[in-house]
Amino acid sequence: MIGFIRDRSGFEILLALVSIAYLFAFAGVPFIFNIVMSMQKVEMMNLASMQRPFVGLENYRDVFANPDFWLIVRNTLLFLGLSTIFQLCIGLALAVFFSRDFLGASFMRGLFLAAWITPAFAIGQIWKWILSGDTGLLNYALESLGLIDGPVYWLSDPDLALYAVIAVNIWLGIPYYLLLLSVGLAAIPGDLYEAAELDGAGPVARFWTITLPLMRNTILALVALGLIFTLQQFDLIAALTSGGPVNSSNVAQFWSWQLSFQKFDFAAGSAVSVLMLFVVVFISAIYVASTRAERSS
Amino acid sequence: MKSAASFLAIAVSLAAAPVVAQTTITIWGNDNPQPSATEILSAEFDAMRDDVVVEYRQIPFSDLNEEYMRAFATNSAPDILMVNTTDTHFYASSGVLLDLTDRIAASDIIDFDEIFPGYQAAVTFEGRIYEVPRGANTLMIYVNSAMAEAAGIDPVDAPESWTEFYDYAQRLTNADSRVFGIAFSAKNNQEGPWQWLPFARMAGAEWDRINEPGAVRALEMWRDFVVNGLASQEVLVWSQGDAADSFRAQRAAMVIQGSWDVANMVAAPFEWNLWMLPPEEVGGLRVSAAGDFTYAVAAASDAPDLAFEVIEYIYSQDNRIWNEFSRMPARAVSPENPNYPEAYEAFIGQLQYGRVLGPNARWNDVSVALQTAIQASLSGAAEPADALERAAAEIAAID
Repeated sequence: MIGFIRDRSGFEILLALVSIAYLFAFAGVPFIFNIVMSMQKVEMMNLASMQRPFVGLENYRDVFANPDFWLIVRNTLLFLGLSTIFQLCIGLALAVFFSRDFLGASFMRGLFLAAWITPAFAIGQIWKWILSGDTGLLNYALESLGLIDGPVYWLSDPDLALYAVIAVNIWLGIPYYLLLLSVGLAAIPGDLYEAAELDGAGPVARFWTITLPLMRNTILALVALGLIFTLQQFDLIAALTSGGPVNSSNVAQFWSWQLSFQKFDFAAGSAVSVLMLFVVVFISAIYVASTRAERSS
Repeated sequence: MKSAASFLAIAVSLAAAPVVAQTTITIWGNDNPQPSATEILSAEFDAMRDDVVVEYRQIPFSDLNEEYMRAFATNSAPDILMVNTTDTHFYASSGVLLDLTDRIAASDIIDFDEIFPGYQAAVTFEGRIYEVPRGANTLMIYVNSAMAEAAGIDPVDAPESWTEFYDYAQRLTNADSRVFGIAFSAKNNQEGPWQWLPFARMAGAEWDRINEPGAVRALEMWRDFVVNGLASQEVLVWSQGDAADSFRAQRAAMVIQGSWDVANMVAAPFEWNLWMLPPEEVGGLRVSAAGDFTYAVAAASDAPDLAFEVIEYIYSQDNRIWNEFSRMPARAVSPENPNYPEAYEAFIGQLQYGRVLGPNARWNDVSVALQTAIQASLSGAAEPADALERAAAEIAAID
């Protein structure tokens, strides 16, 4: 036994078992608890025990029948899609820009980290003041520049609230893409670009034929992870709009919390989170496939 | 010799330590404004007694129920918890609170009959009493005196009807200097219905028949405030504190705000006056809000008698709580020399018409239905009549 651990692969297996046990205890068990809870009738008194009346898929039927359901699905898809597209494009553009290594480039790149390391709730409060309708900085700036002639209610107009939240989330997520794409860009050998330049390729052509194809796997992996992180984004919505007004900026992750902790409908909250789980599993499958491709290439 | 000396030293120090076993009483709650009345009064009780250590934990208002849920679920609930009057029936019905009826009946300090009727109803569930009211608060209209005079309104002349109220708001709105006539909270949490329901009640409606014409008129008035620019669209995301901030920043001439905020208002750099919420017609029914917290003892507490004694002590200090903590007692006890005496008189006068939200064990669900109706109407997403029909149907469907 000791020999197995010391000489053979027993040691690696032992280490892996420790990690698996930890993950199972702190992620796996709550996970299973959540799925089981979504199929039971939950009240405050039976919240802590697993013994609750089993109701099958009734909670899911209630969630689908909820009049806000399709609005929230639409909001969540818009939130995910627009956030990721703009975060990726702006992040990639900035990464390419900073890879040029001009004076102060790495310092400025570090400054972008500010958005990433500040707690999301603090960011939410600051942006709430900036976007405030009557007394906000943004409206003041836009009016001074003459671009608008009255206050725009970024956070309290149902037509604008979701896009305001998405815009702040884009700002929040750019550093993530910027930093990790920079790492990927640095891995591309410089002589490839020189050779292409000698062959007469312009900057755009170099980007399309060298940068993008070589970054393909990195981008896929980052997008998959980025989608999962975006789906976990709660603090920002809680600080900015609390899902309002009239659920116009409500997204699935916030709705799940609202159902559980404001309406005390824990089973419905669990059901929504299990539905989100399917989306996350799908994205994770893509992520795993992309890292496999990256390792094998 | 050395070991004998050290043995003696230990024996002496043990003998000098208090022989009385100390019980720890934990209290969780939300006291606003600071300083915390509960923390200070319970610390006084702690200082008076050797056998009790009292620990107070302040929890933000919006996190209260979540914290309690978690605590009950994990059997780590405090001995005493502060329960808002909107939630009293909810917690009482779920069996997590201790039945205090007999203790109150036997108490020399607490006389249940002298508590204001609205609060009696809030703490009584199916004939048994589960909480002790901690205090009373109510809503009134704070009006900026200078702005009122500039608009030709006498600051002591409260509006006596909704038409007059709307007219005042119109005259007090100044689009050029970006000043709104009125500010209030229509947020998608408990604060929205809390501010609006008194108006619906004044028009004869009630939360369990919220689609009645009176409620529609009340909601239409609020909708007109926002849509016609007399109130900022931000009311949809403002808490009561945010609305009061806009009043203190002189961005709004009137604000519907509570008695608990009087100390902050006094600190504002201008004169203001207090108006009662206007009835719908001159001489009509007057209603205002009545709320605040109550003290409850957890059924799982292992020191219920001691916990009840803490509550009794705090209750006995009701004649101090206005001056020291800006809280009105939930019974007719007057402090001598109240701070801000005119404001105090005004609040007591308004409290006569105060009604608590609900009371109902499922008030949270009712509140959500009302919040949706208010937000949908004020944002123009739905007509008030339709929004209230939907709310009435949702409320009727709550089992």
